[in-house]
Order: sequence, then structure tokens, then C-alpha cells
Amino acid sequence: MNPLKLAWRNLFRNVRRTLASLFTVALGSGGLLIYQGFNTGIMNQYRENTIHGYYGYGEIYPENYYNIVKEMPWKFWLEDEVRIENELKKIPEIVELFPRVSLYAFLVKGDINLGGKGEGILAERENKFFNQMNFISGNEIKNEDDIILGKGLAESLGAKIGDTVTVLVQTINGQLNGADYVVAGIFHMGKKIIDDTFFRVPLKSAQKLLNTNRVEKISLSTTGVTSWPTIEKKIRSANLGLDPIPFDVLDKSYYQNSVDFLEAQFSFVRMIILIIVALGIFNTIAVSLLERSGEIGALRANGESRSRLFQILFIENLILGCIGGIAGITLAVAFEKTLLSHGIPMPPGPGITRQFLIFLEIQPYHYLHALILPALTAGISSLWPISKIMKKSIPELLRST
Amino acid sequence: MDNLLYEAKDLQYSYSWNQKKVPVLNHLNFSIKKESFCCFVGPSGTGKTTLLNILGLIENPTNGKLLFCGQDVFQNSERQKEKLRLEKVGFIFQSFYLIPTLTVLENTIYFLPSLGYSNQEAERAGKEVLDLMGLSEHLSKKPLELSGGQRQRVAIARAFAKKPLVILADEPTANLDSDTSEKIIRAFKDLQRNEKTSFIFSTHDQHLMSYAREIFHLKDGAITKKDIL
Repeated sequence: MNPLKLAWRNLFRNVRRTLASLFTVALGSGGLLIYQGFNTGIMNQYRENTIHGYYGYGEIYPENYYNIVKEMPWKFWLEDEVRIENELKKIPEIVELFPRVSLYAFLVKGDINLGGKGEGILAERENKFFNQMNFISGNEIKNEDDIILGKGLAESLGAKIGDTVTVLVQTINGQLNGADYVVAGIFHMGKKIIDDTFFRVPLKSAQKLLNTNRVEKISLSTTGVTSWPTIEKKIRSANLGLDPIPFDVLDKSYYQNSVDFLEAQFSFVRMIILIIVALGIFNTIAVSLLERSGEIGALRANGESRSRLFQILFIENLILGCIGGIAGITLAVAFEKTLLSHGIPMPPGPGITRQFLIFLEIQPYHYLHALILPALTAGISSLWPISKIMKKSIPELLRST
Repeated sequence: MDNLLYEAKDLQYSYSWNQKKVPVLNHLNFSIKKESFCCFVGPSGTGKTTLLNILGLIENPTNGKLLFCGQDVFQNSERQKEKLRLEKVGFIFQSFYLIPTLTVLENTIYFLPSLGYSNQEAERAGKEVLDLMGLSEHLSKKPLELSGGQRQRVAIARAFAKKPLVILADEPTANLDSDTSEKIIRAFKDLQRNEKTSFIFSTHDQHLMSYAREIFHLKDGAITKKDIL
């Protein structure tokens, strides 16, 4: 009889014990799948926040501009925006372009005078794509004199919808310039640092305030996260003097660090789960082998080789691990479709001010991990008890029953 | 010399306990011919099991020599001894040690594929042996569905299906009632007579001894008497 068939039959020797081992592996496997799906859910939620809240899939900067401190940055801004837009529109993976300028300003309302960081945007283009602004009152920019304020900034200014706020800036020539805006909306992006200081005005009026017709950068909407490398390659090969920077680099401190942190945490938890699985079934395997030592001794006395017995016992535990893995995956999917189908409410994360709802986002490779890792763990944790019993002499095996 | 199955020369076995050497078998000299039907008898702790283990090549003597078919097999590697056990030795124990998840037929033919039998050949050989053992109606039963005597007959069939030179049985009837024990010994006897396989067993049972042609009496690890019947 071939070792695989024998190993399979051995699983039915003590059904209760086999079920206990299967349950342990299934818990580990299901736990891994749910946790990995949950983690991906959080990461994707972070990603959506980052992409649809502010950065888009990435931004196009003038060459050698991004992350380098300049004395007069506007000198490097993109001069011929229309030509650049036309060139970029030739790339099929780019869906929409959002030209922007940054401005540091004083915002004045009555006696209150606060510093803030603003941006001039093309509202008619941005409003559809940047849907994670979470307006708590009012709406997006619609008119040339509209301004939208972060929640913290609006609170500090005591500004409400319809109030007038004066924005004072220094033009690129060093003169003071100002304009009155009407508060059209108050948003809540969930990041305290943005909500406390950030505001947005229409691009044209920001350019007018700064006395320039250049744009600092162009955010991009693309066909998806995966198309970024192609876009980057095409922009670089077109020699337009532009630096394409993806969202995960732009938002390293929030998105990428969060992803790295979650991945490190997941690796640690995965290790703990696998250790628990290993310890859980190690004892069962050891007891089961001890009970069979007489039988193993009798087989060896009749000429069965150590290596074949080792093979049979190892395969038996691998099969156990695989079945446990499949059972765990089934359990996890059942949980996902029932109890967890409405999402898991999460408290605000570090640096975030609002709660969010996480849905499990199980990817195809998660199933593979949830199957292979516990199966291997079951196999590996059986190696020691199997080697131990194989090292025993035949009389020892026959005596130990 | 060619018809000698075993030849023991000054065979000794001892083990260490609390840094002291405890002798189990003392200077044994004996020979057993091929196609023998013999037993080792003696009180518990006298070394019968150890001697059978040595004869079955699963334990090495501490001193002395044991020739198996004229060969000093204890010079062989573990692999070579494994092969010899597979091809030439069948072992039967009082606790049967059948695989509970396999059927009677599957247990019987367990070793045959390793001996080069095809599935059909193995099945045919297994059915023949089980027929000899009076178990042809139980081929597809699992060991736990059988009585103790039937299980022991399956264990004999498993050992015998390999067509070994010798079958060693350590107290094969110790767990069985007297009627069943007699049936088992008769089965041994029939196989020995028809198939020319040697049977060597150990027992305390006076009645079983009467079936043996040679009886070696062991006491304190030494052969005190040999009866030839």
C-alpha cells in the first residue's frame, strides 16, 4: 500500500483526536485568513483615504523639486501647464489631471488671525475624485470666491458656512496680497494635522493671490494603483522635465509607515498563531505516536524501513494540516459572509480623528497562505516526535506500549 | 552445516543499570536446524524475549556470535539487517500489533509490495494465506471486528505471507484462551509441515510446549536443558 493511502487511513484511527488536531489547525488557519483580510482591509482603507482624500494616485512635480528646500520655489513651478496637460493626456492610464498650487497664508475672521496652509485647486475636476473630504457642513467649492476649511481651522476661526474669511498671502514678488472668501464647506479628512491647518480655494484665485500663472504640481487620477509604474515609465521616457511621485512616497509618514507597521504587526501575530498551532498539535501527535509505538516496533521487526515509516507519519500530519487549513478557510469565509459582512467598526488610528469601518479584504494569495502555512506547521511540528520515535530501538518500541 | 538456521556460540547479552552490568543471557551455545518447530520455555525474566529479539535480528548480542544461515549477521549494517528481516524473518507478538485502519487482507499483504509483489500478486498471495488460516470470510473486516484468536491468526498470516525462513513468536498465545491457543499452535504446526517454515516461539504454557519438537529450557539466562520430542 502506498504511503499516501496508508497515511490517509491513519487519520481515521482515532477520529476524536484527529478532529481535535483539525480543529486546532483550522482555528489557526481561519485566524490567519481573517487577520490577513482585516489587515488588508485597514491598509486599503488607508490607501483610499490617502488617494481620494488628498494625493490622488500620485503627483507630477517639476524635476528636482520634490522634497528639496528652495529659497524661491515658485521659480521652479510648471510654466506651460496646458502643454504639459496635453502631453500627459496622451498616456492612456491617466484618467484626470488636477493642477494645484500651494500657498501659506494668514486667515483672518474678525479679531482672529491664524496661519494656515492652503491649496488652489480646480474644483470642477477635483470634486468627483476626492470624495474622502467628509464635509461635516456645507459643500465643495463651486464659486470663484468659495473657500473650504479643515474642521480644526474652522473651529479656531469660529467660522461657519456663509461667513467671510480674509486670506492674506505674500505674492511671488514679495508683496502682501489678500482676498475675501465665503466659507462654502467645512471638511474632516480624519488627519488632525490637516484638519487643523488646511484650506482650499479655486486655482485661478490662488494664482491671482500669488501673482503667478504657473502651477506647482499636478495630481493624477489613473486607471488604478497598479498602473503607476507604467505611467512613471512613460513620463520619464517623454523627457518632459517632470518628476512623477506615487502616493505612497508622498504620504510616507501616514500611509506607507502605517502599512509597514501593520505588516510587521501581522508577521508577529502570524508567528504567534503558528506557534500556538504547532504546540496545540505537537502534544496530540506525540501521544498518538506513543500509543502506536508497539505497532511501529512490530512493523520494523518484520522488516519495515525507518525511512518509509517516517514518510508515512510525516505525510499523515501534512494531510491533517491541509484538511485543517481548508476547514479553517471555510470557517473564515463563512464568518466573512455572515457575522463580519457589515464591517468591523474601528476607533481612530494614530494621527486620525475619525472612526472607520473595516471590511475583510481577502486576496487570492491569502487563501494560499492560510492553507500552506498551517499545513507546513503541522508537518514541521510532527518532525521532532516522529524522529524521536524513529530513533528508538525495536525492543524499546515494543516495550513502551 | 547447510541445514542450520541458527548457531549460537558463547552468546551473551547484558545491560547497564545504575552503572552495573546486569547479565540477561549467559554464554549460550545452541543450534537450531531449518524447518524446526521449537520453543524456549522458562519463568518470566529469564531472557526468552531477549533471545527471540536477538534471533530476529532486532537486538545485538553483547558478546559471542550468532550465525544466521551460516552468516555472522551482526556485522551487517542496520539497512542490511532490515532487508534480512523483511525477506527472511517473520515476527509475531502476543499483542498482535495489527494496523487497525487496514482490513484483514491489507494487513496480511502489508510487506509484500516491498518484496516486489505487484498488487494482484500480493492480493492473491494474501488470500491464499488467509485461506490457510481459515480467515477467508473475513478479508474485508477490520482487526477490531475480529476475536483475539482471529487477530492472532491475521498476525501469523502477515508474518507468513512474506514466506520467511523463520517465524518467531513471543508468547503468541499469552492473551488467548486455551482453545484458541491450541488452534493457533495447530495453525503454526500446519504451516511448518506444509510450507517448511521454521517456527520458534517462547511460552510458559506446558500444554503448548507439548507441540514443539525441541524445547530449550532457560533459567537465569542460561540453557539448562534441551528436550527433543
